[in-house]
Amino acid sequence: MQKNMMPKLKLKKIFSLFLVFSLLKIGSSLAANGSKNITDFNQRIVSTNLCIDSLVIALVGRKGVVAVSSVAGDSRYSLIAKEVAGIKKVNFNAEQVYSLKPTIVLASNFSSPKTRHAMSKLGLRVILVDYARSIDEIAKNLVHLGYLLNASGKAKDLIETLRNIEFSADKSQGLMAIQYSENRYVNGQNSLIRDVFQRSGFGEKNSLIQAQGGRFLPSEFVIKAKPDLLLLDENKNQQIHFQNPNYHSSLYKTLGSTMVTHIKQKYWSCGTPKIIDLIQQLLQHHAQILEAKKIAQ
Amino acid sequence: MSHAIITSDISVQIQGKTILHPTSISIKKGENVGIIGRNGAGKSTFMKAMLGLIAHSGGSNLSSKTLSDRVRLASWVPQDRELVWDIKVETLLQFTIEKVKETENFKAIKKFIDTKDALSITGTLKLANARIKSLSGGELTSVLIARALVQQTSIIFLDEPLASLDPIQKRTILEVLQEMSQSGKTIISSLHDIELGKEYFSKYIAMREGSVICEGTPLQILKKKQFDKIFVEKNSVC
Amino acid sequence: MHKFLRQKKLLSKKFVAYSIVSLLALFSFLSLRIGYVNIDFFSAIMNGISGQKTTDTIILFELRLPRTLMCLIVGAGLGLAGAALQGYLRNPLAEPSIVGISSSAALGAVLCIGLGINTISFFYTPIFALSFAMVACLILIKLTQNTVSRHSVILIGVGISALSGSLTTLILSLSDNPFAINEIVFWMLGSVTDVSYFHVLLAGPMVLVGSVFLLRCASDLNLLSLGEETASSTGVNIGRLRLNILFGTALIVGGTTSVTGIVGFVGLVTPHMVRPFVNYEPKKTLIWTPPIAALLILVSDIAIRILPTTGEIKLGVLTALLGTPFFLYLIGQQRD
Repeated sequence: MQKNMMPKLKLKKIFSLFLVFSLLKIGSSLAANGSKNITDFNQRIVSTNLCIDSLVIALVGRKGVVAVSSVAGDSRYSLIAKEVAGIKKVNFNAEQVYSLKPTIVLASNFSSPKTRHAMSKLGLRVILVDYARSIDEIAKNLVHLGYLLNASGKAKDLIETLRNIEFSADKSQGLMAIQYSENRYVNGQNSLIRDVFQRSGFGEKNSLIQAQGGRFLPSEFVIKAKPDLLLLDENKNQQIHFQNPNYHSSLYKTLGSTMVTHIKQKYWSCGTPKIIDLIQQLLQHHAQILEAKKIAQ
Repeated sequence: MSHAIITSDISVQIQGKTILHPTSISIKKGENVGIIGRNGAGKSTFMKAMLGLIAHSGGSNLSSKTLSDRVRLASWVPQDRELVWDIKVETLLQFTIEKVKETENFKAIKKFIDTKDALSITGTLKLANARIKSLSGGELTSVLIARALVQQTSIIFLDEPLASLDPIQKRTILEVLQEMSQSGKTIISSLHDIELGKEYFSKYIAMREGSVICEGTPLQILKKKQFDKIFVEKNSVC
Repeated sequence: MHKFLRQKKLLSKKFVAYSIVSLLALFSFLSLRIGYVNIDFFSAIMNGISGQKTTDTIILFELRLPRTLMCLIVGAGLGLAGAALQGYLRNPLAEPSIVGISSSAALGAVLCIGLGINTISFFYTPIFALSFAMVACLILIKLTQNTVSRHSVILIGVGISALSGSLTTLILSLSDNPFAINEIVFWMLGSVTDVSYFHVLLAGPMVLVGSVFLLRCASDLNLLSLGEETASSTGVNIGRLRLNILFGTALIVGGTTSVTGIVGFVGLVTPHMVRPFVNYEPKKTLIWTPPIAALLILVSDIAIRILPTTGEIKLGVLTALLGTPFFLYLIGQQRD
């Protein structure tokens, strides 16, 4: 009997020891988290998503930024290629990120849950930042990151500028704009580009394009929808006034009633303070289209 | 009687290995020849080389001719009798007739064998409208021989025409071959049924390891002492 | 009596030919008429003829007409290539996409685009696709020369497909294109959406020349049904036949794949549909398959546009959906 009791006792002992240790560990990490938020100036930031990279750079510059996502340095897709020159580039990969000993890892809510889980297991502090689908959400992300990165003041300034754009556009004109990607994708209602369109005076009245989520659409829809402004992707090696050969040629034969503009995807794909530039450009287009309509009448 | 086939030092090498050693033989017109020997003795290779179907050195009076000339001299009945498409018997023969009609000296054919003639010679006229895949092994062989007949050639090569047939079917085929040779065609077949064939063939050519070791009438060959030995032992002579 | 029968046969042959042509015309019309959006069809035609440009004429003449033409080209071409391959390999399971020629062509196109060679001239993409299709064809012909098993042809195809498929994915992944997955889907599952006259002019002549090569094989394929040796003994020049099949298939598959991606199984299914009506004769199968295959693709492409889906169904998905069960059925029928 006694012999049998022995292992059970041992197990209990080990278990309780383990319990105590893990409680201690949780407690200490909680304490650490609390202090880091405000007081730690030597933070090592690793940002793993282009859109978050842009927000981080806008908030803290290069200070404390150990690494950014690998696309951030590629000027074809990134608006901050110059700003992040010389900073290490990483992929969203637990091993790579862990080796940089970050105090904070910023990841998108679209990032792989598997990798996120692995990082948490390694004891990394992984913070999720939602992909911004509107100007308001950009502001929200700025507040969030400003608090985490000890740059709340800068965040406030940036939000101020965002809010202060004068929306001079006459929304009552009901002009319609469509952004049509090279791969024939059209963004849904709940997307950043739609919000940008709205803020620069463009609405969408056409039922052909009005899908809740994003959709791949054949060119037929786009032509039939007769938008006032058609925003197309700019080809890598292309000047704005040339046609992008990756689109069907018929899109360029839209009878003059549609203004066709090429723009690089990087100008609208990420919710960052730089979105102001695009809104301003679209405001100009809006005015031009109205002008042209007046002349036509 | 003149010769239908004359080979001079015909030989076949495949990947540096000699499958057929230089062989010179002659076969008279109207003969019904059986090529005998164990598996791998080179029977098929010898026939294909004579007909010019495979690459070879030396040659025969057939293989030296151009492809289009050969069409009207000798035809071929393959051992692999599997047909993928379930076509009609008559159609199968028609394919060959269409091709023959493309040949230059087509109009010079005195006795043109049409589909019906060929099928009745081989005793398969009633199968004219049957589909290939519905035929038995013996019927299919007969049809393929009829196919060779409509090619209007005086020489017909058959690669193991008796393979996988039952004894009755074998006799039927052997009779057809004999009749054809009696009507003036030269028939050359490879076979294993040496005993069964002795009444039908006018000549046997025995082969071993890529060489012809002896030729003669079936009775001459079968009379040889230790007949089995000559197929097996390296240096035994005929 | 004989004469009467023959006349009747001739009549019915004519009748069949006419009905196929009218079906092609009908479905071509429907393919123009039925699209993603509603257009005023007849006024669009009138406006188009009078040279007036409206939204609807642009949709009809710039988007739908080239698409319909491309369906005809892709269908007829791939159907013919399938029938020719089945006839040449004497294998009812053979087909450009199954034996790996299509995926090899796609690899060629992707490699050309990946290396940026297509920016020099657009003609390089089909040339690359053609060359790669030819390499796959050569491998297939070389490896099948000595094999007799029917399934080994399919295994060779599995090998070629797997290799070129993985290389395609590798190239697209290395090209540091964030939309690589999209591209992979495009090449693996073909589509005729938004093709233009440029594409028609690119693929059309290649398919036409390829068809000439393949149709020249028609009579030889009849004789080949007896096997290569027998065919050769009846005067078929096997070497020349092989070259015709090689160039014909490569031109057709290279030309269509470089424009539409892989559209599989149409070359498999159609010859089997045709065969019972032409007494299983290889030559007639070869001749009658292209119009039926074109019809099949036209109908599939119309179906894609009227099926109520939120996303876009690719043509390659639909043909594979229809073709794969048939392929499996055929494998079950084979005895080796």
